[in-house]
Amino acid sequence: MAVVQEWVGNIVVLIGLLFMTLGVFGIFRFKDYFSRILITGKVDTVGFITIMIGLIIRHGFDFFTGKIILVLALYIITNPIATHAITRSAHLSGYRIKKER
Amino acid sequence: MNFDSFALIIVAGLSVFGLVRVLQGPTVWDRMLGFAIFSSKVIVAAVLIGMVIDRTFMIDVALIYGVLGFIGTIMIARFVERRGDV
Amino acid sequence: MKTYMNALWEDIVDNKEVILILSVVWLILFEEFSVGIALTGIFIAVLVVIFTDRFLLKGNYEHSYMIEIGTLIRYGLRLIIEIFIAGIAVIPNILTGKSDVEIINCETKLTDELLIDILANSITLTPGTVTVEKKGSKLKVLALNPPGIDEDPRGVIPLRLEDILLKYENKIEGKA
Repeated sequence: MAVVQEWVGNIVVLIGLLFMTLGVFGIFRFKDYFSRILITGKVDTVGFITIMIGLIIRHGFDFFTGKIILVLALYIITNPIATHAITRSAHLSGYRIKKER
Repeated sequence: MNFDSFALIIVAGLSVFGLVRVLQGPTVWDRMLGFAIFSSKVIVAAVLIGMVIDRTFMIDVALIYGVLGFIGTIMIARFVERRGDV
Repeated sequence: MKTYMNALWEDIVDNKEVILILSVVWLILFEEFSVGIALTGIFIAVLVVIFTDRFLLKGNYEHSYMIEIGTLIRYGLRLIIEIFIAGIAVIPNILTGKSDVEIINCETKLTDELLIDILANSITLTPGTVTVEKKGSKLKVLALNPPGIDEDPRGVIPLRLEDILLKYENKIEGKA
């Protein structure tokens, strides 16, 4: 049972690392700032959540797991606010795209 | 060399690429995006170090770094938005 | 004195779910479970909630931060599922390098301020959409692969999340 748990956790962590690599690959792929923040920053967040879920699965239920859940909750609450602040700053400072409706 | 060390090496490598975006980004918002990505990588790395050395205090380090990175990003964004007036 | 104590007790009963969440966080940070630590945690949680209610907020605490644990858990699970679906849908764009970005004005059916904020943050958290501006219940959303001109602009909002929030808003309508 413990072996199965460890393998499932490792596979989930590997999927998360794949998402994170895609996100970091994305910031060198696009030319436009808005495309970068839309795709890259967010795929990076998916990778973060996946890695934390993988570590929770592998470690079992413990106080250590509770602390990881605390970190995850803090990140989920604060990350969209930071992204929103950056994008709003760019929008108000006059960085425009061609289309708007 | 177990699985955690492997994951730690990959995350450390990715954080270097985030810093490259901070150094070469054409606009200031690109630099902020690179900083946000770098701080998320640091949180993951701290949790993984805690797994490798099997101590729980590294999770507290991750928690504190998350709060500090958030405040840093918000304040820089506000500074740029108001053109130098916090 | 007696009416003051009664008002205090009513505040505690109204905010019991927030107090429970704060006490669990206290226990997790201490990493051990004993009666003394649990009692200290509950005491400090009550103190924090009452202090914020009396001195720091203009309105009422239970009207500003209405949290129900069942709705919170259901919303969190649905949010993680939506994030994964959107994250997988965005991967072809990264590999091909194409992007079609547009700002869309749309409107939600929600009216409560806190719930609109939660919805806007959830829109930002899902890959492919970022909220740029919020004014009342009107949102400006920066979207990848936007819906066409003749389609409904509300397609950028994750509608299932909005449904959960709408149901919750109808439930608290009388109290808030």
